[in-house]
Amino acid sequence: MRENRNIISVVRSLLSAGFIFSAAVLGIAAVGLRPGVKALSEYYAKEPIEVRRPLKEFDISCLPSFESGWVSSNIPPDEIETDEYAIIRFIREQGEPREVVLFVTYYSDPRSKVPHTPDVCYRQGGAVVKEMKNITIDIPELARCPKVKARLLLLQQRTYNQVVIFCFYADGQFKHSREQVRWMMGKPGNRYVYFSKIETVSSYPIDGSPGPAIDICKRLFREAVSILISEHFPTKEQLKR
Amino acid sequence: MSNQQELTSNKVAGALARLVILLALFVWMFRPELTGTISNIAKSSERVHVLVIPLMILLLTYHHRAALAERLSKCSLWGIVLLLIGLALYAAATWPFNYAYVHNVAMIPVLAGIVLVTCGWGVLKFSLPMLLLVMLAFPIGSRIYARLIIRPETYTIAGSAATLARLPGVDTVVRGLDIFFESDFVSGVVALGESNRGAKLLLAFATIGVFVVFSRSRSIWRLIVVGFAAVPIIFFCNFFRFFCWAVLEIYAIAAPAGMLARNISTTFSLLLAYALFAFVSSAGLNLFVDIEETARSQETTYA
Repeated sequence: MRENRNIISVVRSLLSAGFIFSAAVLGIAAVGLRPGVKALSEYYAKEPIEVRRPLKEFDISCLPSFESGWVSSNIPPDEIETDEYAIIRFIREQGEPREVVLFVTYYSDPRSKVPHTPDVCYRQGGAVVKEMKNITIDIPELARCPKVKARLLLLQQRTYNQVVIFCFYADGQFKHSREQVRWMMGKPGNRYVYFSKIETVSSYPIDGSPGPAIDICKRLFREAVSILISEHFPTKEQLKR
Repeated sequence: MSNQQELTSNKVAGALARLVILLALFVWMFRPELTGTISNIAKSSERVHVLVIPLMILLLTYHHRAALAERLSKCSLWGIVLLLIGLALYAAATWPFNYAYVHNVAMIPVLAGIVLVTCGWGVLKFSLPMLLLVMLAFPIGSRIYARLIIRPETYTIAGSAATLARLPGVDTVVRGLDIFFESDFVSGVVALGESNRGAKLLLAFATIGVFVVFSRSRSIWRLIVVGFAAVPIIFFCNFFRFFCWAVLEIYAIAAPAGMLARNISTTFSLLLAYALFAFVSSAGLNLFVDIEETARSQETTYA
């Protein structure tokens, strides 16, 4: 008799509206949520878009500060997961720092993983991070966004120190972290998707000041970015078509 | 059995029946994420603590069973809201955004919703540590984790190198993530060949902390103090692991210590985490003791 009462009580508790509704929600989600969202993602999948002009044709004569006194050379890439890149080393005989490198990669496959940022991969290569912070670089040539937020790293290598300035340019916007780029890639709206990592690197002596190296990196970054946007990267209008 | 006891036992049985059914649906819904979490355990020693998390949750539930039964209340429809929030988060993390970690984290509001809809607010409050343990079981994406740990890893390695250099006859140099040492007897490198080598077990230390702290009823002040102490404890244990490892490497003169040094230092650091969390959560400060004794005696009364 008492057992029957217990069973009736348990069954009655299973008939509460809240429980039935919750079970229905979870059941429907288990059956339909994943396929439904997958179908949506396939229908609205973004497409790759080519650069307007290949990065290998990057015109260094358009960099006013590096026109004279500097010798440029291309550096072969190392595990960059894209065929669209420009890695250019500028060397000079006089003045400090002697060397600065421009490193630009372009990705347009919507399934592309956003690459490791220098703060992660330089450490794997043996560098010790001395400082990392956000900086703002003025680029008056850019009408839409004359102030670009980028990331500055000071790294200690075995016999010298390094300055790295980098940021991403994703779907026509500057972003300084991987997560921001991933957000841009997912954000609905555009039909096409791309992102690029723009990095400048220079070095200074172990006991020296990073000031001149930071200045040269900023200058190269500023001049390269305006060329990349005006001649190479797709325009915002192209993304929408 | 008195009517009151029968009523309570029926209430518990009803809540358990609802909970089991909804949890079965939960497992069905999240089976890819759950299997992914389990399969990750084998891929990295960093995730081994996930093996004991279900056991910890069962132990906590068993330990607090009386208080949980006492707090059973009418189910709350807010649970459905939490369910929907969790499912919406899951959907959004599939499309338009693609975040594997958020897929996993979406399970937390769904679980909280299930507890709320079956057992009410009182039980949900008591289940928060268990939900926290579930959250600590989810692997953070390797690229995100690599970025998050830059500072702790850098400080840990630099701190370890500086401390090692104080040992008699030992010189150290940090290159990247490795400490190169030279002593009177031997020279070599610490931490070669392990990803996240300077911050590998942070989540394991945190898991131990959550289990130890919530294994008994604590006052809210105690929880706040432990909450503040948790981060330094976790980083200290991380440093201790690295330092122990280095000491073993340096003084294992006869043969390279290899995996043995790593395993010994890991075991010591996990024990240290247990001891430190146990100390901070049980140290007999007058501020906490009275309130905690009251809470415990209440719990005993319910049992």
